[in-house]
Amino acid sequence: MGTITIDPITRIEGHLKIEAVVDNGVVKETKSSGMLFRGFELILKGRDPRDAQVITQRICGVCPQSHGIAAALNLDSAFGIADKIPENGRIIRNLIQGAHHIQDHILHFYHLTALDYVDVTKVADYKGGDSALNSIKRFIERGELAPFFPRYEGDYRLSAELNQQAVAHYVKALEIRRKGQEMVAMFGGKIPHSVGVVPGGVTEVPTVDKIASFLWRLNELKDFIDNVYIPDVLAVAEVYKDYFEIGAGCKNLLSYGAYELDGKEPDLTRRKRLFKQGVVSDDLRLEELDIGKITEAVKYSWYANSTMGLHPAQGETEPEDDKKDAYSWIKSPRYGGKVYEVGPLARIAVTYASGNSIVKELVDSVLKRFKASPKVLFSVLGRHAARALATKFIADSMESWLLELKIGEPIYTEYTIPEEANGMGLTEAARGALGHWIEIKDKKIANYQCVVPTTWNASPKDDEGNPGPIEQAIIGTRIKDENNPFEIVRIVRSFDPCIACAVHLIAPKCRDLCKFKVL
Amino acid sequence: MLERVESLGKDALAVVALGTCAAFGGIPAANPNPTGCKGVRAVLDSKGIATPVVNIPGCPPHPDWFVGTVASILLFGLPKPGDLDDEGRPLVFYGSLIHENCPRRASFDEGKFAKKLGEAGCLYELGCKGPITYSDCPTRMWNNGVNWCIGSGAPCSGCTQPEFPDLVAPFYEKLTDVNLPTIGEYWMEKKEVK
Repeated sequence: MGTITIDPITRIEGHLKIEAVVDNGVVKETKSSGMLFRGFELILKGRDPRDAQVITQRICGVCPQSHGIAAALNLDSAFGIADKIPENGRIIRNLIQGAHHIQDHILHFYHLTALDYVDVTKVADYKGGDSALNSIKRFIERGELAPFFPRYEGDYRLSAELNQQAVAHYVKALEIRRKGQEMVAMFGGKIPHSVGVVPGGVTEVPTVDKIASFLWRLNELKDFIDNVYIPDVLAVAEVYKDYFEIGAGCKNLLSYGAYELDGKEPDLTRRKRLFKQGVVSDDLRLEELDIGKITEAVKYSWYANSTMGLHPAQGETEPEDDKKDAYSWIKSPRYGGKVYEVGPLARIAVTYASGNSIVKELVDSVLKRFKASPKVLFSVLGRHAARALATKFIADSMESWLLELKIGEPIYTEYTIPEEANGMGLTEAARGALGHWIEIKDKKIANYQCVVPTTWNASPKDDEGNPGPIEQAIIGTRIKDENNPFEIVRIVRSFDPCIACAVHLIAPKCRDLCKFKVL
Repeated sequence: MLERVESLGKDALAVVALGTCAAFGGIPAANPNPTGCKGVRAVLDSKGIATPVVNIPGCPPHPDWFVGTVASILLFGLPKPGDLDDEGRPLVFYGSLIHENCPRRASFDEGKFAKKLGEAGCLYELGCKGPITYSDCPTRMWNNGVNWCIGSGAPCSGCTQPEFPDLVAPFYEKLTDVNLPTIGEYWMEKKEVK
């Protein structure tokens, strides 16, 4: 019996600590702890509501665009213009968000995850002419092994050739991501922290050359997704098939839906979107999303218990860093009191369950290849495969959106900031369901709450003692070698956590805040 | 993090403070600054550590500013007294106001102002902080030169300035007490950042 502590988990976004109690080689208990906070909701209070779109993007430099979109939707809703965004504005927002997601998913598989499965040292034996691989070969020969080392040892199963090819793709993926970000910047101004999505629509007027510029890059991205990214995910899956049975998690999935296909419906839970809204469990039966069922528990989080069980729209938090039994700055969002996972797996599963024929075909073809039933989706490899398929689904949809843009038509609608209002913005960040809520009083932000995907996924136990999704995925796993706990980190990374996003804090009474423990 | 800044900063040749947060405190330090954030220079000063600090502010900072500065230090040594401005920023990147090189400057000079987002014309009325922001965004642009904030029709948010964000917010309200057209002269008198 022993405890494995991994602090910090590397190759994710942000600061996450995992403690796993192992008994006879199997994980009995786990704690997932988010360690660093900055207090965004407190910083937003009292400001001009329009500034929310600018400031909330700074919650994260990897996924700022998603916060920008959620904030704009939130403000649209508060300003009463949710159903008045011009078509060009709706489409350009989708193009910005789509390009951002594509490069974010590719980032996750190649630059965060791949080295869990790919042995970069095999490039030392490379004998071909690829300049990127030869450059890495020289790197290894010089003994310059950081940032690839230190690493866990003992479970790299790909052939030398597949390893080399994967590393070459890792390098190529950097260029592909750069092009994806260029697409975001084309309409968003710059990225990270774009300026192009605002309440009322967007700021960038579409022109023919912008459209052409966007399109050739989109075609390159599509080619990479179909011919490199998806085949690589499947090639890894072939050799690591046991990971279809590892990391199942809570098997409840939730999606807010994303990518407006119609701008006329003001209720975001009913609006027609590319990825559907809803919840499913392992029976893959679609249930409608009821936003009223979301609450946040704080029993094991460093906040006062008096704020337990509140819906985010009434969110209130009082930090208590010396609270007994608490172990995280992340709260525990729950749906109908139950534990739900969010992310590309949730988007794909919900859209699959809604009967979307394209997603059905994509998922079924992967299941057929592995001669597996849908239950393997609830696993480490299920998440990676779903992420790759979600990337393809977005990319394949974007060309027709791009060509729907109408030169010369409006991109923005004016509004008056109300004295008092409430708003809600729901979208899907790359990592899952993202919600922003605002309360405006005297034309200023009185309250602003963000419930972010990784808050759901990396949450600690709730007041019923139910562990969060990542915790549940780790509990019950057999660890082959406690000095090289591949299983734990592979499970954590399959969720693509973003801890800068997950941790947030409000202290409406502005009391002295505790010293935070920094790694 | 505080301990690392002190222990590593003490013996370093120089510290490069990357981003407005590291240079001046930035958004986490915005009112009410829940975590007591400060810029690196402020931290080292408070501990009596004299290691030179080069500030590369920006939210985010442009990779060229960072790589260019590090390369310059490695090749030519630490910046000399005339190389940095009063805020510790390399003049080669931060030497001119956005306003001086903005493609929409002619509109400003002619008094042609955009009244709402998406319109042509100077963005001053819509909150542009270009007149007080030192940065080479108009010429370098962003993401491999495909675009930049004002290029996409959005007002500059002043993100390389010590005033970011509290003294440049609200982001969509115009700078006040500005004397047209001599804006540059007015802002030569530096404002104190609290």
